[in-house]
Amino acid sequence: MAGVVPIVPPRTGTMGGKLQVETQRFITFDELCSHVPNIKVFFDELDKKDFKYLLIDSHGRAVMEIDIEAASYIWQSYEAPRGGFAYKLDFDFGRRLPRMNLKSIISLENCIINIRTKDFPRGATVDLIKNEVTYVHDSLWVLKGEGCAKEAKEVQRVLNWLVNDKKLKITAPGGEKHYKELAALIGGK
Amino acid sequence: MATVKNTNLKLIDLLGGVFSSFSASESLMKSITHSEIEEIKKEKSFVACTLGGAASVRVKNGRVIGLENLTIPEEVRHFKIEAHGKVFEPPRKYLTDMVGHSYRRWVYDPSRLRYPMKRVGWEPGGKGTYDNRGKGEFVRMSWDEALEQVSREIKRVRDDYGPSALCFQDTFHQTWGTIHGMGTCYTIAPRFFNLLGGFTEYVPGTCSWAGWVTGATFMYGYWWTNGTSEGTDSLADTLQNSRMVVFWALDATKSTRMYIGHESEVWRHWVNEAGIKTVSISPELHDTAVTHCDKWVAVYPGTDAALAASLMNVWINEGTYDKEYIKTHTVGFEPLKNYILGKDDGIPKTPEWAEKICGVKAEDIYNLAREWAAGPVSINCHVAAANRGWYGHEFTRMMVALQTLQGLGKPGVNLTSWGQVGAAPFDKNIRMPGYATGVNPAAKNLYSNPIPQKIHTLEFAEGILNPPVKWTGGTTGAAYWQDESAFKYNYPMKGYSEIKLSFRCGGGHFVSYSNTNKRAEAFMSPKLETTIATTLFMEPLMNCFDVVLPACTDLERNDISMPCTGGLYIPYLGNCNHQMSIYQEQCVKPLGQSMPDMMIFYNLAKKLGIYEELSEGNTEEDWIRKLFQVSSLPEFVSFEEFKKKGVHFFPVPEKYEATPPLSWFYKDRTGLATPSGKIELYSQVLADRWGENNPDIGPVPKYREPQDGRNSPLAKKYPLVGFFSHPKFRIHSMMENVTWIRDLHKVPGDSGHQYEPIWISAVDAEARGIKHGDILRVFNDVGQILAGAYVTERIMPGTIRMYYGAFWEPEDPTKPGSLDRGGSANVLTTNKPMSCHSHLHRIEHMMVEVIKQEGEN
Repeated sequence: MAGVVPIVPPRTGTMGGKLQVETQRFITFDELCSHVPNIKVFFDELDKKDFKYLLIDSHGRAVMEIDIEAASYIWQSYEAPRGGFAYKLDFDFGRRLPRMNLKSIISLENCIINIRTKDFPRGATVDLIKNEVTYVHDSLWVLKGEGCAKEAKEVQRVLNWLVNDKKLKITAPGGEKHYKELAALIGGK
Repeated sequence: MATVKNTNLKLIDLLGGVFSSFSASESLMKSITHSEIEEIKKEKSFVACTLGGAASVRVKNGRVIGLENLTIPEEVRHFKIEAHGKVFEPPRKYLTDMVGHSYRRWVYDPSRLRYPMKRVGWEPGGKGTYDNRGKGEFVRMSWDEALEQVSREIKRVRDDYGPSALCFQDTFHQTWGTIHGMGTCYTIAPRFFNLLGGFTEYVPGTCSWAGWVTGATFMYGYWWTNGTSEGTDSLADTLQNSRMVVFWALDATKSTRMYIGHESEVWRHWVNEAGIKTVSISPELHDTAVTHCDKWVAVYPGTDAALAASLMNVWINEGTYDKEYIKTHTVGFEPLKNYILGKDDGIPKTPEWAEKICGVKAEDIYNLAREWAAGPVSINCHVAAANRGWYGHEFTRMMVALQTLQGLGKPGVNLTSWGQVGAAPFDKNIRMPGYATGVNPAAKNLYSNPIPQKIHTLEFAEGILNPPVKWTGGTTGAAYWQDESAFKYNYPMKGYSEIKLSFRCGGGHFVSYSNTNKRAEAFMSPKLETTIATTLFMEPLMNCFDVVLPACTDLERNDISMPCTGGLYIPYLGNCNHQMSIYQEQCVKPLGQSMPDMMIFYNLAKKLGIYEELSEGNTEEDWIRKLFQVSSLPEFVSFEEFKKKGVHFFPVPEKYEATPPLSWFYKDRTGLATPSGKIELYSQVLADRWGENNPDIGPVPKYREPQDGRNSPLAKKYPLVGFFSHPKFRIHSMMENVTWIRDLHKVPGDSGHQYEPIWISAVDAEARGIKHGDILRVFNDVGQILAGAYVTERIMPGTIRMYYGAFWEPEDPTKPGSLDRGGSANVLTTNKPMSCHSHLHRIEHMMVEVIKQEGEN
């Protein structure tokens, strides 16, 4: 053990400063916009085209920063399940929640949005991480009557943009085939 | 399939006859063995925890046949307080009130919902019709069908619009419990919705503590108890040290009963026995004043802060405030003093000035001020009606300022509300989670809500009907901090959906919050594609829902709890005479097909594929056992023994050390949760936020003339000030359906309809040709209701008093503003906040007019 200087652990005291933690969590719409530029661009383009959209799910690994003013802590050692010691550090922030903010997004598992048309809350569902259209509204292949044709055109307008401009792949069951059939039927691309 | 129409209580009574074939005892008698029948025939006794406190329940033939006060065994060591040569000792029984005792009727009320129902015309997928929402036309469903359709609808809305389209709204004190009833809303339901990806949080604000949350907190902290300071040991402190008790805007006998029954009533009798002077300050000579007080100071609603300012004026001019305490324990006295003496606005806040505003004679104010300054005074004022009116925060700040000038925390100088913020000696080391703890402390995963979007209760109706809406602050309790009241919110948030599905647990919502009509209009709007409620009763507001699922009462399922302990913002704090935990053993089987709240969510979770995560493998019994484990109970009793006995009484420690409220602060001079650690008579936070001259709020507490008050132009049209206190005969609207209680207070009409009473002074009644028992129309620009006249000299001329919480029974529910025959006072209240600073309900101080309603009987 020569050369090892024994350290006396700081058993109790107060801690201040910025603590960074890595965590798996839901990423909010605002956080996507501020931390993932290509997704922000995508949303901006949807806005310009006057397509409405809703965030359905978005999970990823993120780094959060906790701003600690003066939290008391306890350094503890305890008996590990299979012998020996284990160690943990408990912070007590008291009644006031410390300020926290998202520093960065390490990775996104998914980012699922529904793109709405005038009549359908869910014209198409898109996973922006996989670059896939995972759902397309039925109107494309249950085309009946003038009203439905109008609705189908709304959905098709969205799909045209997603497939042709944004190069997303339709993975919704049967979606590719029906999209092509519909495009031929109602005169889209 | 038969269609059931639920239009009013009379019809509900008729339905009771139809439903009686499903009564518990008869259904129980089917398919059970002979020995089981013999067992059922025996009389059994259970320990229960009701909304009115602990009780002993007698059951025979599978039915509840009586509730009695719970006896406290002689061997349980309880407190004794020596004061004024007497020894005060509580009775050895729990003082359950009418709410608890009426459970026997309540459980079997004809309006109980006995099976799932759906509104005629409702179809999953938003494909049905909406025009009969509110009319109460329902058709029965099986549980299988209900669970299937509700779960599919939740999934559809989540998949189509995202989880933000789901909105969960908690119960309004439906039943007592930690895992069911109120408990479900904190321990099960949020986890359920979070497992689905989250939900739009409904911010309930508060209808009881509004002014305390946004006012007093800026002077001494205590936001985690909604602005009410600690009340621990205030009973002994008052009995031993106070010369006078002032009940300010508080009918304590009535308002402090919630959850605990009459436990604190005996304490007020002790105050009288000890010879301590008592004063009531209120527009009405309420029950507490009649029973306990030496003097009634009648003050116009909304002017309490003026009266308080004038008391301080006398003290400052006569030098009878605690100058040393002001130096050592406070910051900002000079600006307050300048306001009180009129140095900044040229208006000294003298008793003569106050007399013109609040109607109290200057001579009486001088006498009260001098009597007050002569010795320690305890104020009972939390949950007071005055904190819920225009600028209710100024009332609460003035209460803190008054006691600060007399040395808050000195022996006998306290600010409390016995029964609501505690008082009696108890074992402070006992831990017991409660419904307001906000999470299930026994769960492995808590699943916090990832959706940032919220909707505030005050903005709910406009948010649904005419989005977008925005507001500032408005959260209460643990989520609150001085900073929070400046947070800005909007709905809907970009990227998130408007609410499409509302899931509500329990009733009371429309009538306990302001502007009932507007709220109902939102719930009836097709913009809410589906509305679901779990409920005990088909009370009128349930007519606005699409699917109603029958929950059961406290006596029909198992749970674990402590009387009057909600945890967190409703800590125990010695609210009762004896501290106890109760194993709420199921006394009788659920009526009809009703089921425990938690089981409804468990069954939905199975359909949605989240059962394993939600339950974590726990049955009802498992959760009870785990909650037992995280409480202090294992230090005293085994789970098996606790379950067998049904109750464990915690003895008062043998060497009891009293910690009178804020006595530590009096000693330490710092440590409060304010920026300075002292009492802030001048708040720099408020100065920075609102400036010195904002008409609604400023750094120094002030009297602010109510907008639309009795001196406003509106008073020419509506000359009476209405104040709508916490109800004496209900808890919010719970128990409103119980005929035993209705018979005690309603004004009977010749038609058989029971009208909600309205107190009106003999002077105002005579001027309008109104006699006792007449049916009146009470109205203003917000709404109109019917009420039965209670003509009395116990209320100030120029004011009327009603209790909120009566059922909303509009003549035509589909027509906004329709005459409400139920007499819900909140039909008359606006959903505008109490000030720019306080985005919370303004339930008091609405200007109204009353006239005799011809042709109504």
